[in-house]
Amino acid sequence: MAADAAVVVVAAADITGRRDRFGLGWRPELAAGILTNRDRIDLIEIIAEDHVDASRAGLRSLRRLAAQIPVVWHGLSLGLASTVPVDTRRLDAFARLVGETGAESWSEHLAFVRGGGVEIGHLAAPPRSPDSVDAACHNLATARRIVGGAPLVENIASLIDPPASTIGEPEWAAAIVAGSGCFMLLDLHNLYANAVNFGEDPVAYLHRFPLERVGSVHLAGGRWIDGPNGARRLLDDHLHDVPEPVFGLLTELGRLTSQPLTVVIERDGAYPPFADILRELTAARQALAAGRAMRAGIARAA
Amino acid sequence: MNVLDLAGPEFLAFYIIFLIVVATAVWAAVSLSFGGAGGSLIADPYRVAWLRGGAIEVARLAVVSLASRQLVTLPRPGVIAPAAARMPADLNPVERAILVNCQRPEGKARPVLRNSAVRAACRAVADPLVAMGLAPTANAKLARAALCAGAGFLVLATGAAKLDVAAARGHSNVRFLILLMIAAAIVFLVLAIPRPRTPEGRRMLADMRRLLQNRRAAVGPQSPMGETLLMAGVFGAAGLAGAEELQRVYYQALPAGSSGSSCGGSDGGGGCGGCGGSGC
Repeated sequence: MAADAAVVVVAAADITGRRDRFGLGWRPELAAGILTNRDRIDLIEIIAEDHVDASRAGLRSLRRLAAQIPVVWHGLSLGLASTVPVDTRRLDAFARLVGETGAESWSEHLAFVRGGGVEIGHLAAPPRSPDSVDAACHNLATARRIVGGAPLVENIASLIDPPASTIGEPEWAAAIVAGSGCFMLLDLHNLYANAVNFGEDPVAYLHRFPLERVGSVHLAGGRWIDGPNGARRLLDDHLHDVPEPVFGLLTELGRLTSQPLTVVIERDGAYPPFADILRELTAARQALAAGRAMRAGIARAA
Repeated sequence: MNVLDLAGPEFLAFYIIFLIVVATAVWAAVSLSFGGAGGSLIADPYRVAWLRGGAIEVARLAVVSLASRQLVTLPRPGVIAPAAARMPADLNPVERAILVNCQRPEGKARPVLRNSAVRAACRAVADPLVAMGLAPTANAKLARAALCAGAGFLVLATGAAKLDVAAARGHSNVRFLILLMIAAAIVFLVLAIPRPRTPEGRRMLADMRRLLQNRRAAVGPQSPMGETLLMAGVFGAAGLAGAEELQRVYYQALPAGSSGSSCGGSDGGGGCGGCGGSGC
């Protein structure tokens, strides 16, 4: 069984003792650029759903890729924050990918993606309540058992405040992280979008997340769209450059945390020249380094 | 039962089966016996080009690289001319060797690409591939040739013995047998041709193609040179579909009618872009 073979995952428990790393989401459109700029990219993050049905030859290609550059897997379809138990067949497929490629970690969103047999086709925010915390922790325990390691869990962007919520998003994420023992993949653009869409100060919003449990970071871009009642909403579309405030949040995260972070830039379309993507990667390095320097300066002063 | 005593049609049937069995066994032996240790991807365009088509593809890629940097021009097919009186320091050995050797007036591409210094530079590209088990060693090439020669001798000798028996018995209708013997000779000669890659090298090339397949036609005139060369290394001319000028250079680097034209090759990893394989 694929799950039995998936014993390679170390996941978030092993994130300490490493330096900060910076990588890109693996997309076919970026493949040649990544391979020819390998020395400037520390790792790649591959969308699991693109390969769950990979043939043996396809898996061999992925193994070779993983031998070339560290690989982490990123899931979209598990719906781990749903009150519906996670589909173990999907977890078997994840276990196969993670095991075959020797990936060091995998991640999935705190979202629900289906219900009552209907696939939403979208990462939807569940009601943030004690019930959904318990359900997510149960699903994460199942995922850890089958895949062989716990995923890093990612905050999602939402254009609406989920109905029936009784807990704020940061506190809800913190409760899941505490209850499951997972680390977080903190998507700073999602965080930024949720903050500005619902009238929060992004930096203050960041402070409310369980930052000591953050292992990885996503950076992306988005665009402003018209919302209800003339309001504007920031849509996380992964089609635009990382905005400056998000780099500012990364600096702040670096200032507030001491553990090494893995930072991945996500881009899903409207690809700029690869040199521009490398420049964003450099900007991310500089942003986090600035935060680390601030932290070191504070420590020295103390 | 002595197969040489079989009647003509029966012997021809036996001979066809015998040829197929022996050729298949030889093919299996040369396909399975030179495997390597696997490992990570080969992202160096020149090494990938070697795996795809051997030294001739390495040389063509170097000409594309030089032309993209406006160091050479191809005024007409097969003619490489220097376009600048400079020798950048960051040229790789193959590019440098070609640039040095096209300085002569009207240097035709084929003589330039067959210059000893260029050939040596091309062959050097394969050295690390040999060490990685992706390209065959000299001993492996010899073993392949010896195996094919032995198998070919066995098949042809059987046919010759039957011809001798037929002649002794006064039969002259041996044209089909002679045709089959000629076909057998061709089969074993083709099998004996050294390939630029081992089976593991073939799998490496297939993996590169699979990972980059969606970008096959995406290289354009403004693409970074590293990406352009990688795509050309992996896919040959097809990898330059979006950069017509460089694709023209790729095609014209060799004189019309010379080797290096498209061929898939039964060794896998084929596609267009040449199968020189035996040196430039």
